[in-house]
Amino acid sequence: MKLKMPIVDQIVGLFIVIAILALAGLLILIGINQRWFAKNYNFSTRFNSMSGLEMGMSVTLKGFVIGKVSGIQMNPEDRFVYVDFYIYDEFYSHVVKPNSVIQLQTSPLGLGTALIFNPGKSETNIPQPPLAEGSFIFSNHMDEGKRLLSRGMVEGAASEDTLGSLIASIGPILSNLEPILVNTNQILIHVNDALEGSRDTALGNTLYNLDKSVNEIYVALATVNKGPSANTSGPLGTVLTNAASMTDTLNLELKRQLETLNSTLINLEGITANLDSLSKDPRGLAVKLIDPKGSLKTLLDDNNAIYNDVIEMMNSLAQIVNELESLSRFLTGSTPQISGILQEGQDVLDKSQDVMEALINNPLLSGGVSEKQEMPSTFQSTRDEDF
Amino acid sequence: MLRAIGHRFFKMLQQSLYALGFFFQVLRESLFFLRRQKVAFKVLTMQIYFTGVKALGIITLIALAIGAAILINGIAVLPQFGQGNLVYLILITVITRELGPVLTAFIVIARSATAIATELGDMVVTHQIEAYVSIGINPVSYLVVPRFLGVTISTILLTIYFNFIGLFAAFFLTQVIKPIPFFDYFYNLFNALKVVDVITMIMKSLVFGIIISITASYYALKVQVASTEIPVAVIKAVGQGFVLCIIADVIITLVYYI
Repeated sequence: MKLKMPIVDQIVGLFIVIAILALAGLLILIGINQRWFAKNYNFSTRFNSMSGLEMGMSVTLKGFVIGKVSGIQMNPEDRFVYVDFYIYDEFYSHVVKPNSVIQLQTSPLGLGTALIFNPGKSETNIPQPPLAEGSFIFSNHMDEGKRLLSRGMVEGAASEDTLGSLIASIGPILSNLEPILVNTNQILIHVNDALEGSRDTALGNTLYNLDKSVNEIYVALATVNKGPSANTSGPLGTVLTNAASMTDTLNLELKRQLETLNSTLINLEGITANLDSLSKDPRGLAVKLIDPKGSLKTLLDDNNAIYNDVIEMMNSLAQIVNELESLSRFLTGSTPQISGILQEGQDVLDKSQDVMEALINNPLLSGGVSEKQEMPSTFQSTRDEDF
Repeated sequence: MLRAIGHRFFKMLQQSLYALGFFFQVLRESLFFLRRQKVAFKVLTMQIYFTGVKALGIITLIALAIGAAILINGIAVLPQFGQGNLVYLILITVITRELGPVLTAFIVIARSATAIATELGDMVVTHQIEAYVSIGINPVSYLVVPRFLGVTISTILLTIYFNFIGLFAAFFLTQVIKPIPFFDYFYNLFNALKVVDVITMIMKSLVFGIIISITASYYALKVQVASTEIPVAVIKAVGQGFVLCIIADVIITLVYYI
């Protein structure tokens, strides 16, 4: 079908007009939505860093956009970042009050940043006029802003969430981890060198000394086993030699005291046997006591046998007490030596414990790999049989 | 070999300079277009009709499909990552800045560049161009300029339609499958849409229109005597049109991001 020219003209005209109107309408809608024709009130603030800030960034209040960032510049003299922003006219008179603080919040999950406006509170509950256009508003990077936030002088101050602060703390931890890893790497290099037999490193020297110490301990232990006349060089050998001589002295003294005690016990046993024989016949004892011939006189006139026994017993007891007293004096006199020996022993044990702890903590030396017992399979298939 | 390369290079340079000269001649003649007789206007009107109005159907279909696909997929997937508002940015990037102008240009190349190359090439073969010259009519003024203006204007208008259909009509299509609040959609869309996006779109469509019309006319007028040269000219017009449009797109996009 061939169209007549006037119709084509109309169609083309309509085609052009609709497109132009649509484009104009689109631009007008963008302008209205982006507030080309509305009044904005400009303010400024200051931050320590530009990190997270960008031109055209929204200024929000409780999630609503109430303004935009219009300029960011750094002052080279004080090295602070000065930010210019504007607040929409419909929010200006209600929001921009004295003590207002602007907060820059960065999401630790990398979900962007937000510039949050916190309107200031009045200290006197008297409504205050809004700040004049061009005023400087404190930020949460400034001491004044922090003070206002901590004193609760702003409305709806957003605090950092737990997850945010937790994740924010990961950064320093990771930065600290790096030197630890570097040190670990160096330690492993030293361990490697030491295990290769190099004595240039501290660990190599330590292992060499440890080996030497272990050999000395073996020698000292062998000396102790053999007796004091053997090689007693080294601290542990000296300690053990002293301990051995002390032990010998004590043994001799105790042996002598035990012999004395043994004789005393034999006497006591005789007395006990006599008393026992008497106690077996109380009536006989009473008769003997009553009988003039078997009376107490008889008892007392027994050629002082009982008396002698008692005296002997008392003498023995006195001697025991004396011996114990001398033993006690000896022990008292020997206490500093014993104490010194114990102290030396304690020191040696502490050093040994340190060495053992170092060995245990060393992942390359602690315990090694336990031997695995080869467990033969109880099941044998026909393939396992020898042909 | 070096001689052949040098010869080829100088030949390409000569052709490029010739094409550039042709382009500037078209531009110069276009400035005087308003003073032309009514015939030239009729050619322009017909060119806009065939290139623009007639292509509106396929443009609508493609824009609707792409817009709805982006919207439905974006609304389904992006909120899962807490980035639901990114759908508007993607929509604008694809429809307004990138794919809209390029797809429109491709459609115009496929429909109109081929038609112009064939028509003008046939006019050369049938000595119609010589007839225009013989009676003192500049063929560039009366044949090329209306086509140049018609294709350029049509490309710009079609790109605007592509955007409207992709951004607005796709919303209504999406309502059938996945309803979105009307106010939310348009509020977020106009917040994400910047004037620079619209300017980029217009710039791209303008450059694409110029490239398409000049390339088609240039290769058509290079036909000499044989009708077998016409398909070759059409192929060259389409191929060069695609390549130059893509190069121009990349350059404009780079300028946008710089």
